[in-house]
Parts: sequence; C-alpha cells; structure tokens
Amino acid sequence: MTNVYRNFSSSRRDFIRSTASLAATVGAAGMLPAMSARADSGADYANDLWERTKAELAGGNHRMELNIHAWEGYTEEPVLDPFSRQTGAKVNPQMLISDPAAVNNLRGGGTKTWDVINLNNAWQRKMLYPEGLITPLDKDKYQPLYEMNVPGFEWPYHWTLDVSGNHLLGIIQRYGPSAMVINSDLISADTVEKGGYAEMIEGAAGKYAILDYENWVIMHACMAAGFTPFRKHTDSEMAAYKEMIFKIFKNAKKVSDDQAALGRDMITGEVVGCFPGSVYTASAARLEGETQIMNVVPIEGPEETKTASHPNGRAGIIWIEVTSLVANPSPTPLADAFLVYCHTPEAAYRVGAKSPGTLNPVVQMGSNDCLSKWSKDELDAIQWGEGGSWLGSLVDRCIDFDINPDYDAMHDMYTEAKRTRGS
Amino acid sequence: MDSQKSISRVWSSLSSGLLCSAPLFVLLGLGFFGPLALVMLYSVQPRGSFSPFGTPTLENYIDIIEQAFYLSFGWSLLLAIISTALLLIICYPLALALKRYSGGMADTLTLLVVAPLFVAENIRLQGWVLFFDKAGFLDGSLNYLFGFGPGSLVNNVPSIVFGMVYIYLPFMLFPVLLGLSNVPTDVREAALDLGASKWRIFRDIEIPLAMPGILIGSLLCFVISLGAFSEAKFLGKGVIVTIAQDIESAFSYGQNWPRGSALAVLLIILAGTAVFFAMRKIDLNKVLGTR
Repeated sequence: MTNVYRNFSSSRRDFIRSTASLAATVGAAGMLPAMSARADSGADYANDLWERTKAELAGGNHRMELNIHAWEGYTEEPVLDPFSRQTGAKVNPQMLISDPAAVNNLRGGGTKTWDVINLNNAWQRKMLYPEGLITPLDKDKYQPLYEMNVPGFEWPYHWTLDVSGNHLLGIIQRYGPSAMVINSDLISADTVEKGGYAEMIEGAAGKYAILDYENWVIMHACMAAGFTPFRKHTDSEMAAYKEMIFKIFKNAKKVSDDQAALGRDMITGEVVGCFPGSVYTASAARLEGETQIMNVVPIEGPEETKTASHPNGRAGIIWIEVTSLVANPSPTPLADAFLVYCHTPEAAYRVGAKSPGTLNPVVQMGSNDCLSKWSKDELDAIQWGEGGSWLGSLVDRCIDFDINPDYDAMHDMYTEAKRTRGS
Repeated sequence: MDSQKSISRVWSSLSSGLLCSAPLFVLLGLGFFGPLALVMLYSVQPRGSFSPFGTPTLENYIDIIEQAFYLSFGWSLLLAIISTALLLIICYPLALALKRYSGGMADTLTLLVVAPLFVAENIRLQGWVLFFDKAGFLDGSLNYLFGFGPGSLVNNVPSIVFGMVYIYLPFMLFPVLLGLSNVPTDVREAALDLGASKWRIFRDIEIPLAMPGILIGSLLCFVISLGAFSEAKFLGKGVIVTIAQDIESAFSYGQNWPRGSALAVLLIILAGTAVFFAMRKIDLNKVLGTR
C-alpha cells in the first residue's frame, strides 16, 4: 500500500523548490543572511579555550556539582555526559516547562539552587539582569567565539548585552523561526504562506491543533490579529486580540502542549497543522522521513513590521536561547566552564541535533567545524536548505522574540478563551 | 485522695499522649498547615506579587468570578461526581469477588489492580492515548484486520472519565474491600436461612455494614478527582479545562501566584466541604475496629 504521508506532493515539491530558489536569489542580492559556514578561527578558539578551561578546573578547589535549569537538549546525556566525563563534575539538570515559570523559580529563591539558566532572549536583558538574578560574563573571553556564528548573530549581539551594552549576559546557541507547522500533504504550504494565519485559523477550522505553549499562543494570536505583541496595545487592539484568541480556540480541533503527540497527529492526518509551531515542532518527524511536516512562516506580516528592507513585513517570531550564569551566592567555576564547553563544535552540534524529540539549528553552524558534523538528514530535519537558504528565508520573515507588556491582560483572555471553547 | 490519684493518672496519660503525638503535630503544622496558610496569604495579594505579606486585596476572587472560572470548577465537580459514581459501580462487585474468592484468585486480582500503580500516571495515560488515538493500537489493528476503524477515540469528555476511573480504581477498591470485611458471612447466611432475598440482604445488611468503607472510598476518589489534571490534559486534549489546569497555568505561564492561590483556596474549600459532610456519616472508630 502506498504511504501517502511519505510521498511528496507536487505542491510541496514546487513550494520547496520555489522557496529555495527565492531564498538563493534574494540571498545573492544581499538581502538575506548567507548561511554558509566560514573559516574556523572561532572554532579553533573555542577548542583552545575549552582545553585551557579544563586545565584551570583541574587545579581548583571548588564545588563539583553543577545545577542547570534549561530547555530540553541541555538537560540530557548527549550534551551533559561528555562535560561530566571531561571535568569530573556531577551535573544536576532540571528541564524548563516555560520561560515565565523559570523566571519565577529564580525570583522565588532559585538563585541559591541553580548555576546556569537557559531561556529565550529578552528575559535576561529586561528582567533577570536588572533584578540581579544573573551575573555578567567575561566579554573579552567570549567575544572571539562569535566568529563561529551564522550571519545575523554577529558581535555585538544586543540580546546578549545589557541595555548599556557594557555587560555580556549570556551565550547564544539554539534559535528558530516560529509561526505554524503543517502537513503539506493535507494543506498547501504555498497557500498557508501566502494566505497567512487566517488560512489555518479560518481556512482549516476544526482541523488544526493548538500547540499550547501559552505565551507563544498569545504572541502569535497578536500577529494573526495584525499587530506585534511586543509593545503596549491600544484598546481596539486588545479587543481585536480578544476576538482572535477566542476564534483560535473555538476553531481548533484539539489543544496540547505535547509536540510529539501533535507531530504524530499531523502525520496520521488527525490534524492538518498546528498553531503555533516552529522548526522544533517539525524536526523530529522530518528526521523520521516525514518531510511533509514543515514549519511555515507567512510571507506578509503586520503593517508595523513593513520596512524598506522588508516591504512585506515579518509575520513570524524568532526565538534565540540565551544561556546565563545565575547569581548564585555560592558560585562554581563549572558554570562558566559549561558555557565555554557548549561552544566547542562537537557540543554545539549535540545541543542542536541530539536533543531527544527535537532538532534545532545553532548559531555556531556558521563554523565549518560545527556544520560538517550534521548529516544530510539532520540538516533537512531543521529545514536548512541549500547553504542554509530555506531556514534563512523563514528566519528572515520573523521579528525577534521580546517581552509583551500586556501579557497579564492577554493571558487572562487566553485562559478564558480556553475555558469557554467547548461551551 | 482517690480523686487526686485519678487526676494524676489522667494527667500522666494526657501528657504521655501529648508527648507521643507532638512529632505528628509539628509535622502537620509545618508540612500541612504551613503551606496552607501560605497559599491563603498569597490568595489575598495583588497580581504579580511574589511575597505573601503585602497589603491584602480581594481582587483575585473578584477576577475569578468575572472570568468564567465557574466553568472549570463545574467541570471538575461534574467529572469528580461521575467518576466516583462509576468507580463505586465497578469496584463494589470487584471487592465482593476479592472477598469471596480468597486465595489464589484473589491474590491474582489484587496484583492486577495494584500492578499499574508501579508505573507513573502520565505514562499510563500516554499508553491509553496511543491505544485509543487515530492510527493507534485499536484503530490501527481494526483497520489492518477489517479495513475500517473508529478513528480517534480521545479528545472528548468520556475519554477523560475513562482515564479517571482507570487511575483512581485502587483508591476506591481497597476501602470498599475494607468495608465489606465488616460484613460477617454468618450474618448473610442467617438472613438467607430466615428467607431474606439477595436484594434484601444487599440492601439491609451488606450496604449498611460496608457503608464506612464505601464512604471513605467515595470521599477519597471524589477529592482526588476534584484535583485531576493529567486525564484532561492527555486524553481530553483541551476539550475542557479542569480547575487544576487553571491553577497550574496561573502559577506557571500566568506568573500569577496570587490568582493560582485563590483558585487553590476555593478548591480546598470545595473539597473540605465534601469531607465535612462525609465525615459526619462515618464512625472512624467503628471502621478501624477500635470500638
């Protein structure tokens, strides 16, 4: 029997081909970041720095336990075991369930427990550092590591710096575009990209799922309503958001925060796609050969995102994880060593490709030493494309993740919409 | 003189009793009443507060009334009532069978009931999702064998009730079994000899004698069902929201500990009311055989 889910539909093939060629064309014109890897001075520096760090650790008298509070990927054996083996440290990881919950953990006394915190960008610059919950890194030591990064993440990268620009607040590694994920056998990627969020919310009413990462649902509901979430909103925008969030829940077939289950639902055809969704939502299924599951970002964004360089605006949101040192009253040098270790090409590759259940691009893929470790299937799983052009085209349609000043009121509306969806 | 001796005896038994129970009082005070007091303090703090000692306000309770939280309370209450009733219907005959077929069969049945408790609740529920979901074990097998299947059987309220009955079954079964152990076999036999029908024996002898166990099992299941979370999350897939999910959301994504605390206080009051009324019907000394 033919497995329809394993066969590329012509529309998807056309879409991928057209996206890749478009990205290549625009990239050649200098409008898209060229994602190809560069010479490896950064990687050499990372390896040297790691060797020196290990030597320094060996002679020190310090706490040999490292407590990490991080998203999945940083909390599992593929990343932690080599670090433990090379340093002799005992690593105690705790996986995050959400950025806000982790911030609350630190505020509630978690600084005494944790040494390393890994969150999406903006929290460090706008909340953690001003509230004294994280400590700055040695700028001079980390700056040369930026040589490894893909374009768009060069030094100085503002999300890792404090407002004054004087203090380095963390390292960057995983990133990804976020908008929607679809099964392109069931709903045309081209249609969704051209039609925007409405193609899912209204066009596929009763057939899509909500990936229930609450703050991300709220952010994308704003984008779907026609404005960005990261500024104060007028009363009419709040009303538009309320209407949109109620519609999103009313029209959804199911709601789940289990992205693996939703990936399965998309493969079986239980749902045609999920809102919102990122590369991490699709990558595990894609690695299994289900390449019809893909992250899509609408071509046209809200009016306020339209600029001369982006006349169509930006409809997606890019997240960039920043890993920082917690202001632990009894710090250990293992924490800083862990951040150095994460920059070694092998560790960076493992963070991106060996996390259970999800693969994500890492900024260090700008280095040949790191990029060359990725297999063709792994690169396809993260929608890398020729020279990174596919991923680059998705990222280019995204605004940076930030803090939503109206989050409290919007979260109230979100929970009310969720409660009343069945009534 | 006698009265002095008797007072002294009472005092010495009282003080030794107090001494013996002191560790328990301390444990309860720190481990139970302490967090409870903290939750109550947080529930009257303004939104965004991460300290329990600010100026008290009732805004959280007002918000709860205004924002349709009655739906979550209503669903939790309804699910708790339905699942408790179903558990009673399922567990009573099962407990009867366990009591009557003592020996190998009873041991096997007990093992079957207890064994799932050794596996985490979430994993067991995920197992049922894979069983009932579209292209899951049931749907896939039927499709393979007969060319058709039921599709997805999750993402609805009955699947949530199924999950709750499955998870909480031991919490009803063993108290009911304890209750039935209060029914002496010779009393049943005497009633039979005197010509009582099976229905009359069930109604007038078994149920009244087993009532303490039935009430304890029902109370236990009702209270833990009120706080059910995973069944609605995994099997319901958002078809409804229980109050425990709202509390979790307030404490995590909502960054609103006071709101979560206020919801928790209301849930505690709801559960406490049920316990209060049920305990009036239960003579614990009789159940425990101390009188």
